[in-house]
Amino acid sequence: MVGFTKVQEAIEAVTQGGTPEDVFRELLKIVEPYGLTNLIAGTMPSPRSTKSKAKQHLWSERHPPGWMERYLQKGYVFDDPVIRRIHGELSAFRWRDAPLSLGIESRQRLIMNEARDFGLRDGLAVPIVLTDGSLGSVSFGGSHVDVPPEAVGAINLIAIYAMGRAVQLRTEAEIGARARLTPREVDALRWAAEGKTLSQIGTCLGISDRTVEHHLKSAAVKLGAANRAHTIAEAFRAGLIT
Amino acid sequence: MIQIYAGCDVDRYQDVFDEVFRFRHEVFVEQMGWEDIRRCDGREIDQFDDAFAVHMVATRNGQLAGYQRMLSMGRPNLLSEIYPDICELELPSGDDVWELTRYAVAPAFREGKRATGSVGTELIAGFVEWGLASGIYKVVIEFEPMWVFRAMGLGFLPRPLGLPSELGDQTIVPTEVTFDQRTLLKIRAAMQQHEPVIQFMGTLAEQRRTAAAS
Repeated sequence: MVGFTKVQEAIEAVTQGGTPEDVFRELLKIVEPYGLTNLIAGTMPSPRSTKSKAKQHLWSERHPPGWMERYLQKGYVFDDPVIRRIHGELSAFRWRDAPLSLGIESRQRLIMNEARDFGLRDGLAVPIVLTDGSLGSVSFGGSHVDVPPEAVGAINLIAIYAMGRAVQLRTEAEIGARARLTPREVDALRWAAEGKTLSQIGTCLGISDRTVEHHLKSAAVKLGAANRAHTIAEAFRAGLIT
Repeated sequence: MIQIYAGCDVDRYQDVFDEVFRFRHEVFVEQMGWEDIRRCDGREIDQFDDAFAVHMVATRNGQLAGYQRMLSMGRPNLLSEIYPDICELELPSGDDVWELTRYAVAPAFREGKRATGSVGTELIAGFVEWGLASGIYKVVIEFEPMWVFRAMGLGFLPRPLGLPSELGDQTIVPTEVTFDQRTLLKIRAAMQQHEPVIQFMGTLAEQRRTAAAS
């Protein structure tokens, strides 16, 4: 795999995937010979984000049943030594080389022991820096990990191409969802962005308050927004209103 | 705004380039520790700063905010002369592929160590606009692997020319990035700024005026 031709083929394989799941399935096939049999990829929640947000943009491939759920439910993502080390790193590292943090060592040992019980004895983490400066990672795990040092750089590079492709596909899907707003929903949003109340918008558009509310709620669902201000912000970001 | 100067105009814009060469020394030698290019006069100039180099200078209110240099792959360049061993594929060698070097954003305009701040993104928009205006659609860059991810996010099509290599305390991978008009639109969307950012200066501006008139 370390040969350049193999790396080129691997990059081609992962970047041809039509869905993020395809991409990561291909990626896992490539690293499997090194005992890396499971994968989690995602963008990193900041320590202030809520648990539900932490689940956003997370892909897992062949993860042991129950482990992801437990990991998220227990909030391990905030204390996991691997995740903590990703914050200071630009290149791939082994899980076992992630240092414990002062004050939470016992919780961190618990996390690592539980992972081991789920069959994830060691792994390789690839940090990804997103364009806005926030972080992501592709983390490979397995029960018998054997990655020669000279393969780490190649795996790092292939994983970056895979993550780049997965995020591209996700963005395309999001834009697709955004494009499906109806003209009425966009009209209602445009007036809401001007600070108009439901009844003022209703008057402007010649429809009832209830119908305005319905349009705004529908737009919120399509944009994945939590409330009206968030909907307006997302609509601006997507270029639907200006 | 990005001002673009031909290498043959360096003397004509002496004040600008005094600042540019000092800036390059400050960033690459003093901050990044590239001792090989340290110079006692504090002006970082190398053999590639010839008449054919293209210099792109980002300014904010007249202040130097960022810089990058383009070298034709049809002439001596860093990859062919300094790092011939890091590439596995044959290097592009025509005038239609250029190498991007010395990309730097002034400390006052960096938005956090990791983020591509607005000056950083404007420099990227700058070389893409310049390329589209000059019939160039491919640029070769030696950068840290994480830039591959950013490049894909901005709509470039990256292709590795070799494996990641350790150079000093940096890991770099030689990569060719292909772009088109859609790439520029994506970059502008990321910047939330849709106006052109480049301005041709001196000889380059005169050449363009002559070409437009004929």
